[in-house]
Amino acid sequence: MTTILTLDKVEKRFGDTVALEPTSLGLEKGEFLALMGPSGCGKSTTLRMIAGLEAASGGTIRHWDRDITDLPPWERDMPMVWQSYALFPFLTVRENVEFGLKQKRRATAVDRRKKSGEWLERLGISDLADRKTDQLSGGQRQRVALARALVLEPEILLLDEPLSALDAHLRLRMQSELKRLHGDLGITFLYVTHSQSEAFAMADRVAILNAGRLQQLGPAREVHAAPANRFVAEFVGGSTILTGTARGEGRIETPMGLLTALAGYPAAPGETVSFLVPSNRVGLSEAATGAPNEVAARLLTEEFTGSFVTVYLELADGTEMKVQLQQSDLDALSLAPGTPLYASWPAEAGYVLKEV
Amino acid sequence: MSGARGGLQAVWTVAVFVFILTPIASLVVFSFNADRFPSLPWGGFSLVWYEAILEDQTVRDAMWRSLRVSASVSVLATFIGFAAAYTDYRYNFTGKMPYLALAALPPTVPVLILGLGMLSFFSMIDLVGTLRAVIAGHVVICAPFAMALIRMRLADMSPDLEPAAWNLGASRWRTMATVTLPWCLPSIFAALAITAAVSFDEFMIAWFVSGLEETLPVRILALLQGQVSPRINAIGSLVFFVSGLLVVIAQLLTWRRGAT
Repeated sequence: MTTILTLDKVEKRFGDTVALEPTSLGLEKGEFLALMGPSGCGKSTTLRMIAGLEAASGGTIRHWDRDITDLPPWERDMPMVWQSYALFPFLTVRENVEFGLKQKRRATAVDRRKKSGEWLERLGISDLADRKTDQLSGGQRQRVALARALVLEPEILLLDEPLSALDAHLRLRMQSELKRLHGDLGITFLYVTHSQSEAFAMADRVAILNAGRLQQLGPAREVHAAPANRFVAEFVGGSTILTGTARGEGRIETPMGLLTALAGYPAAPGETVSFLVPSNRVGLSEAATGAPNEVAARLLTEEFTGSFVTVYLELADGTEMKVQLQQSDLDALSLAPGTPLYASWPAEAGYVLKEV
Repeated sequence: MSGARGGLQAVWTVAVFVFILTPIASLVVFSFNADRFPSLPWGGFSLVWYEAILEDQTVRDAMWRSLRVSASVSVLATFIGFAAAYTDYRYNFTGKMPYLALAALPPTVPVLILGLGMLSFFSMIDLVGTLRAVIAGHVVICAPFAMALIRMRLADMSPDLEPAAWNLGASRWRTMATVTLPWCLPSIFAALAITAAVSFDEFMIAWFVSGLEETLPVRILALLQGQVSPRINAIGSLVFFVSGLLVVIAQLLTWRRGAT
């Protein structure tokens, strides 16, 4: 792997507020990297600095070996797909797609026409070529925005929450389409989103930001399985976080009793630690079975989401625990809100966080 | 009850419009009257007063000056108005509020004061009695109208639109030419029309600073002072028609924008 884009201690301050603390990050050629976090975490600011739309307050940005930190946006070859689409309303679809080619003066009029035609075809919007953009639906606009960026044949494509203005059904379709497009083109995608499901569905690697600080960067699976800290664990979701005092050899004393969590950070005895219980590793029973890691709970609600059911429990200390089960597992249980239950999980599933 | 109320309201509205429009209507009607005096009964249809003013060299000169002034003023005021509106749209700086207030100020100053002020200032810089003085004075009062129209249009422009053009390789100037100006075009045309109309029938400033270079409204007053002639009606109708046409054009342009 070779690094195509390097952020070296890049930071952004607006007066006294810090939008991005000095952050270093490398984008590998051809990868699909998702930059995610809650709103205001600095992800869009980072993208805008890479595109040259915001000036960095410090640090350097390099495209291959070239320092582009102070390059104006029109001299960077990093077209962007906008959340608002940002199509030019007084131009037709075809003119929108040709806009970049025209500015870059890379192609003759005939060439432009041919290239724009190819991309319109590829994204399935050929028959819209002569329409004005205000006559298009959200999904069609998004395709035009994609065509307008990709026709420039960039090495890096920047995407700023491109799917968040679409409805859920269309979003899923565009997700798989983007993923396929990325695979076919072999260009590097840098994708900003606040949605972890989008990021995990498409990205090779994810970078999670919070309050202007990079929390974790790694392959999606790794971030999911081994979150670096409590913020990442909560943002990624899918687990219940419990807190207690380490007693050595993975044993942790909690208000629910002595539990064991063998994965993750080996805490020294006496340390206060947090650990994760993945919701898909928990089993439920109506009577105590005496299994290790068994806690008493009370049913709050259940949520049917198609192939599986999410059950919310309340533990003895008031913690809400999330459990994901197959419908078939549930049939054996009689579930009514308030029902006392027992939840247990294997000791090796418990993952101890390095930070509380 | 409500029907009677509605009827009363309609009658009242019509009455107000009649009150406002009667002088203008009678002006137009009597401009085609063959009689020497604007009184009833009507003396028959005639274009004699129009012929008279078109033969009057002073009126023709004044008309020509007014057209030149309003053409220059519309271009200059619209340019300045666009620049002021764009500054407001694109940039944030300390003192932006005072800057905008200052840019919008001239129409709030009584024209009598403006006219006097310009007279004394222009005489210091030796500009009084030239058409350039009239143009300068009119630009001052017209630019805020242009700014207001163009600002309204810019307020509807997505803040991502210009950055999107930069991102696709268009420099600032190219973006201005290929994105910002096309977006603003309806409001620019509207501003051209409105500022031309305001300048075309502006009297006070022109009267103070034009000297012998009379514009049409100034010429009309001079004619009135000499004698009450039905020619006034003919000129008045012409001025009304030109200004009205320009305002209608501006309305149509802003309308179409509202529709899309």
